[in-house]
Amino acid sequence: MDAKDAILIRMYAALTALCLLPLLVVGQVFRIHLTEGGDLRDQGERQTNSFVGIPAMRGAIYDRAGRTLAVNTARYDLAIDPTVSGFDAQRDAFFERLSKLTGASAAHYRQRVRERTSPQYAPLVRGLSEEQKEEALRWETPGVILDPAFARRYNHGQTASHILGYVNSDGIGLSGLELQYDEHLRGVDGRRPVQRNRLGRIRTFVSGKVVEPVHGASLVLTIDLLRQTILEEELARGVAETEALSASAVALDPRTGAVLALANAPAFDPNRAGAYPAELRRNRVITDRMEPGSTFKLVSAVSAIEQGLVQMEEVIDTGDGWAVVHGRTFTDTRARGAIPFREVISLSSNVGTAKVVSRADRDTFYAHARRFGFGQRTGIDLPGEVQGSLKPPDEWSAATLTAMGIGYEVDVTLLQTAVAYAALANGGRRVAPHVVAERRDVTGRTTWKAPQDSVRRAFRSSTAETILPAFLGAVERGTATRAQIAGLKVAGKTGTSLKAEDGGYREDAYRASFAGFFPADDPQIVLVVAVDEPQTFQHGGQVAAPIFQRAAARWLATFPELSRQAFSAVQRAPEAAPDESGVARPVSLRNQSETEAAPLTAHALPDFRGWTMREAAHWLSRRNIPLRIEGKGVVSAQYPEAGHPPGQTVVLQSR
Amino acid sequence: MVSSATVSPGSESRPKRPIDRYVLWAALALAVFGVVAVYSAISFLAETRAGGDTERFLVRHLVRVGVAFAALLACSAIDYRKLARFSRIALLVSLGLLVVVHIAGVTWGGATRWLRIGSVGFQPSDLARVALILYVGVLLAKKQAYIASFTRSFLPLMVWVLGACILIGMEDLSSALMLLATAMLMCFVARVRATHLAGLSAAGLALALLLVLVSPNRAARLESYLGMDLFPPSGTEEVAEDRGEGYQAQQARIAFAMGGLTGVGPGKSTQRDFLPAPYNDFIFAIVAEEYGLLGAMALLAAFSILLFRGFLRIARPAPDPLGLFLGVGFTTSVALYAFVHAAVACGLLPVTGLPLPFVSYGGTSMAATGMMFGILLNISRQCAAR
Repeated sequence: MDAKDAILIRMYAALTALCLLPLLVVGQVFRIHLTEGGDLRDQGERQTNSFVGIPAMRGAIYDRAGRTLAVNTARYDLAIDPTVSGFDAQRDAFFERLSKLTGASAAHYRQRVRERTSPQYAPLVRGLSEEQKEEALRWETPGVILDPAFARRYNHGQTASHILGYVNSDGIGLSGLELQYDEHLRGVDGRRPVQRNRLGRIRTFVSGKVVEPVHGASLVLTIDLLRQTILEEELARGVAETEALSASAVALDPRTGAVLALANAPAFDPNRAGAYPAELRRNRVITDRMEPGSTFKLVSAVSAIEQGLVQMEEVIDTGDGWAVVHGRTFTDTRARGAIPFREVISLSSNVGTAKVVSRADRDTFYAHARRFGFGQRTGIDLPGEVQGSLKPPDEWSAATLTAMGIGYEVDVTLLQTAVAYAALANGGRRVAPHVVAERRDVTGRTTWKAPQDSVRRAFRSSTAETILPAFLGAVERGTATRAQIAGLKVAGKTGTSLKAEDGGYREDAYRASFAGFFPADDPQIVLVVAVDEPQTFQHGGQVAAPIFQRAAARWLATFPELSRQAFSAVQRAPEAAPDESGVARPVSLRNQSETEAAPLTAHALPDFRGWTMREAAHWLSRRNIPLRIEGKGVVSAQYPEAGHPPGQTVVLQSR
Repeated sequence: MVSSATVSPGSESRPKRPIDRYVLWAALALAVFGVVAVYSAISFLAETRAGGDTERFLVRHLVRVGVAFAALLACSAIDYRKLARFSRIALLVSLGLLVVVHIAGVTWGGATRWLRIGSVGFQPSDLARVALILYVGVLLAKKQAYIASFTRSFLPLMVWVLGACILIGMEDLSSALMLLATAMLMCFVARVRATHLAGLSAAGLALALLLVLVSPNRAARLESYLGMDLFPPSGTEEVAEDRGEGYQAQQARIAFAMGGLTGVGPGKSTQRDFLPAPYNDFIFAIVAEEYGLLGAMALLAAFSILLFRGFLRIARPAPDPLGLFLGVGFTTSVALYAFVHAAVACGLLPVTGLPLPFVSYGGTSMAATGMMFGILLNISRQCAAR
């Protein structure tokens, strides 16, 4: 074998060895595909493919007339990527400017950057306005990231706050309608596929399906902004005048169940709900249970008539104003002797009512109360409603029936009371209360309407006709004379209950309420007012009825039909015209009789200085002199001064 | 003397044959493929370093391809025997440059391999590769008469080969090993005694073990490749957990899996964002992802064509032993680089930083490969007509 052949043989051997390498590679690639291909592909897709959300716009909330209550505004979230070159040079200036822009300290932002969890992203400020964003852009600081987002704005601040509720910083509804209809308001976020690389950065313009967002539906409410505002003002005024803890009110259209207004005082500002205690954010109309007191005599009256226990004009002896029924003592505010059952209701005699109700069949009475909707949720479209408590007869003690007859041993919400009086106003038909009239899509097309037929019968319409005079009488000459509206017939009932606490009743804590509707001959509005722990007076007729009256009188302007009716009635009887302010304004009630105390008149104001506010308020209220209190404690100044005849609002100030 | 006979001026007067078209086409195809693949793979680097200016890198790569083809054409025009005369001086110069690099080089990617002349980065080890293969070819051809001798042929050969490899290996062990393997294969083909080569291999293995033991970096690489702990952790491992060798190998395997049979399509690679230096060390994985198994096989096929043409159509019919040895040497060098690169990319071998010849984004490597192709083509011109 010569040299050339040996070389060639060795060359072929080398070639063969080298050829093995690509074959091995191809084999390995096949092995990857066959053994772990699926897992690896999954891993690859996971680390690469991602989506960026396209936020859906939250639906707006409008009042009955299309006035915006809640809208979206553009806001910007500012973050910083501190690793971007050039940021360090402007670091100090940036923090100073940001501090000036937002009010938070520069040290705070330094800390946020220092303690960031992601190396290239430190969120600093949420919710910058358009102007603030422009300002931040003008600094031209490298690494600043401004993400657009939607913020919620409640145009009218505290107005209707308990109805609207509020959202958190991510735009998710936390209470009120924002919570109840969150799913509809929120819409569905869209998304855009993106790719991520190993630094977590995003590559846009990736092929793939872009899912467009579905913007949220808007809500049109049954609430009217003007009426809501009036009610809130009058509630707040009532709270101030009676030095109460709080007050609540709800108005319904008895024919449809549409909530015309719903308010709690004090209210909160949903634009910065976090600044208020949870206490204030609660919608007491539906979340607070209370023993209703005399307003519950509606159930007693209906049950007594339907069971045939009594006739309206049948005389009941209320004696000296106290009686013991089933071992429990019932007292009236004063002795009235023998009066017809109608008067028992009008004058709110506990003795008379207890006497009548004690004859009732327990199961039937329970069934009647149940049919009014007590002990059940009304089904209003607001979150957090409680059902109250209506004990079934097998849990009753011997005294329960009569106690319930005057509104104790039963827990109801203010809304349940409103629904019950709406049934009376509506000839015994009970409606389902609701706040949202319509939902509309982003183009303004109506997609849903509140059903109008959710009506159940609570009692016979003949019963409603029979008992109505008792409730008219309560306003005309009974406990609720201060609920009278010039020119309109008002029916209603006051209620005053001791607040229960720890299994007993507190001596000094009352809840005063008034439930009424008007015009009584064609009821259009049911309005129920409750005041929690009033200090100046305790009775529903003194505390809640005036709030009802003032709110209702001012509301007339928003009901042209009623306004005309009331005005013509007042014209026909000019001596009944309350004062120069007209029917659409609060009406002073100077010449009306007090029921609980004899009406007093005053020819001149005393010198209130040195009196406590409460003493002064009490004195003035007994004489039906309107009052404005500024401050607390001892009176230090008054207007008009001592010796002037009363005739205008008295202003009392303290230091 | 064999050498004087082979480098005879008479051979130049023989009628020229056309150059080997297959090799030229393979080189062109690889370059074109490389331009497309690098354009895609470089985008992440472009995004992070140059603000998304991928075109700048594309232009730079095109310039390098141009330089490589200029080198190719130049070398194919110069008689390889004339070139061989300068092999010794070229080797000495490049080894000298390696020493300079070691003292004053530019650190890039964890190792000092670069010499900066003006604005052009320059890697002398690539020049040393060409020079060493040339010079080994010359030595082997010269010593054919007494090639089996240990002292007269094996020893002097090994002085040069090991000297160069150690100088290169101080910074770039994988390149040095590739060069050593190429030189050994040339010696094998040139009838150096197998016992000598086997003895050297045994010594080399022992040395390799020693090298692994002294370098925690290498130990970690080996551990990660073998998937077990061989050495106690030393605390000096600089490789971050998620950017470690295991991470790279895993990302490369994902690239193969994503590619499937036909690939995700040109420019649609996602693994380029996760693999380090995808335009260089892992270009094969990117090709496999974008063009699938078919693309990867086409690439391997191009190198296989080169391998076969180089051995059977250039080295075998070469007019003299020098041509044969050089043909074997350069063909082996290019093909071995390619196959080892592919084996690394698919996880057969531990992760190293070897470029894919003519495809990867690397200037000096591409120019060196161009020179090798040029010399091969020149040999093919001089082949005896069949």
